[in-house]
Amino acid sequence: MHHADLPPDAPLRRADRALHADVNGTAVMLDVEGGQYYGLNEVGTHIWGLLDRPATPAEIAADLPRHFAVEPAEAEAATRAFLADLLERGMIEPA
Amino acid sequence: MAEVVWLASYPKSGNTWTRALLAGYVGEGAFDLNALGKGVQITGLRSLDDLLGVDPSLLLEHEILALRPAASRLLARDVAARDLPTFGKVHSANVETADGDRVYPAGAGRALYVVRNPLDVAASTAPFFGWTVDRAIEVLADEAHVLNRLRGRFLGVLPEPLRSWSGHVRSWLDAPGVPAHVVRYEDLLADTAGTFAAALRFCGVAPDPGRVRRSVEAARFERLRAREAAEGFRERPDFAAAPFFRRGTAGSWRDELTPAQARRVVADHRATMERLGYGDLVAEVDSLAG
Amino acid sequence: MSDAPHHYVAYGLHVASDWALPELTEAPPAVAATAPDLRVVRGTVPDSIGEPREQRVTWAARPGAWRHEIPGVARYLVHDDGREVVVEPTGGTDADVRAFLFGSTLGAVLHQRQLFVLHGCAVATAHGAVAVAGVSGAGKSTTLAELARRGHPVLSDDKTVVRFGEAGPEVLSGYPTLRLWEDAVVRLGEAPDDLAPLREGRRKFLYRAPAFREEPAPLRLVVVLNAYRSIAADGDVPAVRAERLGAHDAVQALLLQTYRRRIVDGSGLRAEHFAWTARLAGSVPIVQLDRPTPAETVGAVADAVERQLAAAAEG
Repeated sequence: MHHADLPPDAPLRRADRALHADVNGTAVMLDVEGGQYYGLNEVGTHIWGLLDRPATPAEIAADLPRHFAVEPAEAEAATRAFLADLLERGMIEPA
Repeated sequence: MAEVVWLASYPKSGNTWTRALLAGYVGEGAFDLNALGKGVQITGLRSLDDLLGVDPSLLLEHEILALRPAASRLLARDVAARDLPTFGKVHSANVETADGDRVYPAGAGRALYVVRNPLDVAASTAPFFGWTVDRAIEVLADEAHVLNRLRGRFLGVLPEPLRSWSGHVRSWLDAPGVPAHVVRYEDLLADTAGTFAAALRFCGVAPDPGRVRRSVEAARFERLRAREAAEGFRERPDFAAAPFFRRGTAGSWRDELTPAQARRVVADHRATMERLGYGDLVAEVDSLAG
Repeated sequence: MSDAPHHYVAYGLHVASDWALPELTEAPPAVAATAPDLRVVRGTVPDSIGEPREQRVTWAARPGAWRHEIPGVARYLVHDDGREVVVEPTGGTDADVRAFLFGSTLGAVLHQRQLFVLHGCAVATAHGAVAVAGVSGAGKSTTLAELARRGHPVLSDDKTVVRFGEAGPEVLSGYPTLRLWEDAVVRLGEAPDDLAPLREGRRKFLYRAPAFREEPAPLRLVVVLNAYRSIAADGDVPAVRAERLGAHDAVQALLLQTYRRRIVDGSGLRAEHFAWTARLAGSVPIVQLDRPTPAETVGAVADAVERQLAAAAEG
């Protein structure tokens, strides 16, 4: 899916197949079906934390400038790209 | 559905060059000589360990041989879902097992068979393995020769039964159910791009002329030699006196084999040389004085 | 109680066996009198365990069962959540049968029991235990032999089991028999021909550790050993490099160094294993040691391991 297709107001949630764990403040993930392992950086860890309950791309993008030195436009683009990636890998799904 | 392509050759016949071309094509030109295995997957001990599910250091030579056909089939199954073919470097002959199967069996992939005339192979294996030319000629005729025999330490590579040079050719080109495409080293030298493009087509890849050109350029012999000098090269055995990329020309045997030695090679391999289009070399050796 | 003729202890388990297993430590009478944790029985292994979830050439696994066959040697079945191994010899000598029993088969037992199994060895030191993991050829067993020679009691070879106790992760005591290549045996000053070959015809030998620890020890450090081909000029040997891995790389390294992780997948225990892996990565330093080859680095690697352990112990 191209991330232009990601509706900003459609809520997303973590998929059951996405196992995750916290290692000293860093989120690590395993796709329990495919066996693929992912590590997240600081921003990715933060976004994954926000997906603790269903959240929309717009809500997530709006939250980032409160925690990281980032312009809103940049935050929105980065969020959409990351969420589209997670969606394509089956780690999140429409809520 | 992606296939396994066995990149098979007798040692010192152009396998590394072909792999460099493939790595350059897949990786768009630039590649790290010491990481050839990343762009092009190499079959080795660790791969076999995973396929067998048992530590090969616990197995005897005949047990490893008996299990290899099944390992080849499992590899073909493991990689079937990929987008690109998986290339497995092989020096072993495609030998038969005790129960009539092949190490690289029918239905588990195809073979890109890289071959070089045995006169030059003799001239080239001698310094590489630290042998005299006479010993190299003997090995080329030895049906029982095994590369990397098991020893008392971890080697990282598997025993590879080579057979004679002619036996090696026959084992691959006559293996039932294993489609094979011959890549002659001499043709690679004369027309690298055309020969490589034909090989790609055989592997199910439609060659893109621009990418072919760039990978030919990146893998050019002089560059490989220069890189070897600058970076070292992982695959060179510790006992070797000569650098891996030695000459990169066809016909060096004329300087390095005596007429008597050349005649011995032709006597040992005449039929197979003629089969592979080396009839001109056979005639040349037949007419040698001395 | 068990009427099996032989009783041993390994990885904290009371093993009751129909075979003599001289690689293992004999169980004290008080232990031998209890119900065994693991039974090794002579029996018939079925041709198939049904639809496998994961399969390699010599084994097939599904939740609850793992079947292994080495043609001409033996068949093995691990089931009952890792509480029983059925062995059916098909032509191998007792030594052959044990060679594969203590290979992937023991790995399947430990995985079915949901223990965390690293592909590597471990020794106990004054600073606690260190586990040395790495791919085949990284130099694990040679390093183990050198650490043992320096007087550190061995905890395990090839398969190192980590369990979370009340005080944090601890390494279980395995068994005192190492599997060493001929070159490592010679380096230890032993004569290979005085030792039993792992298999008749192979130059790998069974070597009794000079000192062995029979109790668990607190895990302080995991070393991931990695051999790389050095291109340095002769006489200019690059140093052994140590790098502490961050969370992401540490988890990845532990996943990669898990003993035959495909057995975990086939047993349907991926989720449990991942949770243990993350927990371990968060509990102790995971340090990658890069050693240059073909240089002789046995001493330098052992020095680096000892140095890293001392640093980890200081906190």
